[in-house]
Amino acid sequence: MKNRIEKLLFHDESRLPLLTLLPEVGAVEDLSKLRVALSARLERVELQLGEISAGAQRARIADENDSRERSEREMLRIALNWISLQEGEG
Amino acid sequence: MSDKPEDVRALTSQALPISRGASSSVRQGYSRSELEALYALGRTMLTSGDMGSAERIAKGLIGIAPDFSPAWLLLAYHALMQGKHNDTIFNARQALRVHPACIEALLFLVIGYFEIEDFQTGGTFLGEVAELVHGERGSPELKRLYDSQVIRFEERLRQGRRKMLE
Repeated sequence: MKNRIEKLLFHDESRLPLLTLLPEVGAVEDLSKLRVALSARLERVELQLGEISAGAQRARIADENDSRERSEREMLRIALNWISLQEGEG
Repeated sequence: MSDKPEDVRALTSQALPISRGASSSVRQGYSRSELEALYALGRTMLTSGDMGSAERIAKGLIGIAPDFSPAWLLLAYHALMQGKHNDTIFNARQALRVHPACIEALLFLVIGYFEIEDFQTGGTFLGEVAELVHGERGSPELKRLYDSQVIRFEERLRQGRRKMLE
C-alpha cells in the first residue's frame, strides 16, 4: 500500500499528504458534552433495534432500516469508545 | 497542510455545506455540530491509522445524513487507500452530488480515474478543478495536489505522443 500511495502522489517522488483531500470541518470542543449526546443517541438506537428484532414480521423495508440503524449503532459505539480513551488520557 | 497533532481540538470550520434538503435527511435530529464532530473523529482515526474505525464512522454518518458531503469524502479516502478505485469514484461522485463545487471530491475523481487509466475522464475533471483551485477556496495544499496531478496528466500525454511516433 505504501508503494501505491507513493505512486499516486507525485511523479517526482516528493511527498504530499492525500489527507489534504479531507477538509478539517467542525470542532470537538467539549468531549464530555459530546459523549453525553452520543450516549443518548446510542440508547435510542439500541431501543429501536430491540423493537425491530422483537417485531412479529420483518418486512424488506424494516430490514433496510435495521441495517441503517446497525450502522449508526456501530458508529456511535466506536465514537464513544474513542472518547472514553481520550478522556482517560486527559 | 501543516502536520497537525493527533489530538482533537477546535478547528476552523470550512464551509462545506449540507444541502438545503439535508435537514429532512438528517435522521433523528443530529445537529450539524454533532455530524461535524463525528466526522472530525473519523478523520482523526484515519490520521492515526485506524482505517477500519474511520470507515465505520463514515458509513454511520452516511446512514444518518446522506447529504453530509464530508462523510462521502472520508469513504473516498478510505477506498483510495485500499486501492478500490471504483469505490473512490463512486464516493467522490456522491460528495459532488451534494456539493457540486467541492474541490476535494473533484480531485478524488481525478486521482481515481487516473488510477484506472482513464486519463480522458480524469483530465476532464482536472479542468474543472483548475477553475476552482485558483480561487479563494483553493488552499496551498490543494493547489500543490492539483499541480501534481497536472504533471501526471501531462506526462501521460507525452507518453502517448511518444508511442504514436514509434
